[in-house]
Amino acid sequence: MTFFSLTFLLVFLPASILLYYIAPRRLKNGVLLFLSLVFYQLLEPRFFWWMAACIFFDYGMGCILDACQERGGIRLIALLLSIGKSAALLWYGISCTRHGQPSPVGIWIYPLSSAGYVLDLYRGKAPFEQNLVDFALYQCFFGRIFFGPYVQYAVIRPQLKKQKLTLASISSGIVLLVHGIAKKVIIGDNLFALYQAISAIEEQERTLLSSWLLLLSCMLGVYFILGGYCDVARGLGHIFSFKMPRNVFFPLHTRCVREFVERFNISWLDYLRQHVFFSPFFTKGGAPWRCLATVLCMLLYGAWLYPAVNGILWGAYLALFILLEKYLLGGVLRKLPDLLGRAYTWLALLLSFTLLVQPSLSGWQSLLKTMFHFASGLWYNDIIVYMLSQNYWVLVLGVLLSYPVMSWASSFLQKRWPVWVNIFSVISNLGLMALTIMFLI
Amino acid sequence: MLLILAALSLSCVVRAYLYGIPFPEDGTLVERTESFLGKAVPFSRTLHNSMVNIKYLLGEREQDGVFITKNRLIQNLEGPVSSYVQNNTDALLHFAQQQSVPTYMALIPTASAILQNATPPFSDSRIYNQKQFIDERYKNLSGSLSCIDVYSSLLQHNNQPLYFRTEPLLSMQGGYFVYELLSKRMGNVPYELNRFEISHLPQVYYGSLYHRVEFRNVEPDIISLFYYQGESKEFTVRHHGQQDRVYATLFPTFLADLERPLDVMLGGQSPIVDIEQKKKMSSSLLLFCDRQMFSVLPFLACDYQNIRAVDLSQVTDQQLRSIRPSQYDEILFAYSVDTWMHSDAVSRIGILVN
Repeated sequence: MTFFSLTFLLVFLPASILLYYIAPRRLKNGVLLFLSLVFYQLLEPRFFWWMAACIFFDYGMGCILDACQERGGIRLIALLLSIGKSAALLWYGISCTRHGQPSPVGIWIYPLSSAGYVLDLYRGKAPFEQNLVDFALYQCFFGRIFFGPYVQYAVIRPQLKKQKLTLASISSGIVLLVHGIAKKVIIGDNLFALYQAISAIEEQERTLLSSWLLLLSCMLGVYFILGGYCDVARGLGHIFSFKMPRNVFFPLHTRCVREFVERFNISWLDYLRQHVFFSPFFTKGGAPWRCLATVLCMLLYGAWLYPAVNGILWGAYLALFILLEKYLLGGVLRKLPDLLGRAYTWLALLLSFTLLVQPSLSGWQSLLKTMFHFASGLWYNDIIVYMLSQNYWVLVLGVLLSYPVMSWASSFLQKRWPVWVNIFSVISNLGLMALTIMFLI
Repeated sequence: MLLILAALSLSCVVRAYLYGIPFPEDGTLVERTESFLGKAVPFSRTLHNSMVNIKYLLGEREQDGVFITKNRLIQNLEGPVSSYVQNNTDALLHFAQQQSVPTYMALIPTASAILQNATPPFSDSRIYNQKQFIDERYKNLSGSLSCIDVYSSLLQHNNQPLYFRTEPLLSMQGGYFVYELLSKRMGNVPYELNRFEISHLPQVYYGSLYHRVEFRNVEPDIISLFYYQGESKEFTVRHHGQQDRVYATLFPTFLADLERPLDVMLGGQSPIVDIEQKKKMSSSLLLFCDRQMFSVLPFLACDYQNIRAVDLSQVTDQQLRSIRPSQYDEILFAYSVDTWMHSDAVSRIGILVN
C-alpha cells in the first residue's frame, strides 16, 4: 500500500484519523506509532523486523551516549556503532539499486535520521529521548517514510510532546495531501511514463527533439514525483499535528543553479550542511576547504537522488556550477535579464539530467551528439511526433505548474474578489480530489 | 474534505452490500482491497469513463495499449516474446514433419495491421509489423506444411467491417474472407457469400476493449450471424470440456439472453469442439485454433463432414493424447498473430509427437 492508492485514501487514512483523534492525549503518539508500524508492515513486510531492530539499537546507543557523559571513549564507540549500522543499511540500499532490485522503502530516510540524531546527541545539540515510543515515532512516522523530509529531532520533539490538534490543521493537511497525490498521479506518473517511452526508442531512431524531450520529461517527472511525496508528507504531518518543513519549493522557478539546489530537496541539503559543510573538519579551513565541503555535499546530494555513479556525477556537475556561480559568474548572472537567467538555469539543469538518464559513457556521448545535432540524425521523426501528440498536455501542464502560477493567480484575484476566490478554491480542491480518485481507479 | 473522504469510505461499504460487490479472493490483502474499492467507489465507472474521455480530448488517442479512432477501438499489438515464438514454431515444425496428412497453417493478423489507415496520425511507428512477422514464420515453416496468406486477402477488403468495433476479433464478415481463402487453398470450392443469409442479434455488445477503454463515441457491436441458405444443412456442435454440451445449431442464439452474446457463435470456447454435418460429405478436418477462428468455423463447417476444433490453451494432456491426427483428411493450424506472439500454447502440440 502506498499513499497513491484507494486503500490508503479511503481505508487507512480515515481509520487512522479516527483512531488518532479518539485516543486519549497521552496515548496519541502510541496510536500513531502503531499505525506507522502497520503501514510499514503492509508496505514492506520483508524489512519490517530490520527496521524495528534498528530503532531498538539506536535507542540503546542513545542511552549509552546519555549515560556515559564523562566517558568519551565509550561515547565515541556508541556513536561509531550507530553510524556504522546506518552506513551498512545505506550500502545495502545501494547494492539493491546496483543489482536492479528495488531498495527497501525507507532505507534512505530512517538510517539518515538516526545517524543525524546520534550525531546531534553526541555533540549535545539534541536532548536524549527517554520515551521509546516518541523516539520510534520520530524514526518511522509513515508520512515521511518514502522521501522524507528530514527533520532534526530537536525540532520535532516539542511537537511530539505537545500535540496541537485543530480542525483547521486537519483541513489544510487534507488539501496538501490531495495536492501531493494529484502532483504524483496526474502529472509525475504521466511524465515518467513519457520519459520511459522515449528512452525505449532505439538509438538509431533518436532525434534532436526526442533527446530534449527525454531530458525535459525526466526533469519534470522527478520534480513532480518528489514534490508529490513531500506534499503528502506535509499533509499527513498537518493531520497528525506535526509541522513538516517544505522539501521542494518551485526549484525550476530560479535564476541560477545554486538556487535550484537550495529549493530542491531542501531538508537533505540542510542535513548535509549541518553534518558535513559545518562539521568541525571543514569549518577550520578557509575558502579551499569550503569549496571541498561544497563538492562533498553535492556528491552526497546527487547520490541520494540516484544512488549510483551517475547520481554522484550529477552532484559533481551541480557543485561545479555552484562554485562557478559563486566565484566567477555571480556578477554576470545578477545583471542578466530575468528571462535569460531562467533560460540559463533550465539549460544547465536539462544538461545535468543527461548524466542521470544515460548509464554509460558512450550513451551519454551519443545523447549529447543528438541533442546538438552533431550526429547526422534527424531533427524529428514520426515516433517522437506521435509521442508528443499523445503527451503534449502533460508537458505543458508540467512546465506551467513548475512555476507558482496558481499562487500568483490566487493572490491577484484575492485582492479583487476575495469571496469568490475562496469559493472557487473549495470547488477546485473538491474537483482535484475527484480527478485524483479518477486516476487512482 | 475529510467528511467527503469518510462519506466515500462508508458509501463503498454500503454499495458493496446493496449491489453485492464481492471482495476478491486472489492476491494480497492490499491488492484485494484495492480491486474491491475500484469497483465499490460511487460512480467508479463514470469516473473511469471520464478519465478516458478527458485524456482523449487532450489528445491521447492511445490509452492502455488501445488506439481510439472515430468509431472503433483497435488493440495495439506489442512486440513478440521471442521464446514463445520459437517454441511454437519448433513444435509445429516437428509435428508437421511427422504427419502424412496434408497440414496447413494460417496466421491471422489483428486489426492494428489491417486497419492501419484508421489508427491515429503518426502511429505507424508504434504498430508492430505483422506482415513481416507472418512472412518470417511462413519462411521457417514452408516445406513442412502449406502456409496460407490470409493477410493480403483481409487487407484487400479492409474497407469492410472485418473486425468487431470493441473486441479484438474478426467479425463474421471478416471470417468469410478468411474462409474463402482457406477453402480455396485447401482444395475446396468456397460457397459464395450470397448463399448465406445474414441475421443480427437484437442485443448490442460491448467487447473487452471497451471495458478497458470506455470511450463514449464508440458504438457497441451488433453481432451478425451468417446462416447457410442452400440445400438443407443441419449441424450438431458438441463441446467437450469440464461439462459436455450439445447444440443442434451453429448459432445457439439463446446464449445472447444469458449475457453471453459472443458465445452465440458455436456456443463459445471449449477445449474441444466437434462440429458434425448431417449431410454426407467426403472429408474431415482437425483444426488447432484460438478464438479468432470462431468467426470462420461456421463457414468452414459447410465444407466438411466433421471438424474437430482443439484449443491448445485449454485442452488437457489426456484429451490431447486421445486425438489421432491420422484419422482426419486434413489438419489446419489457424491462430491469431497475437496468440502466436504472446502465448506458447501451440508448443503443446509436442505432446502429440511424443
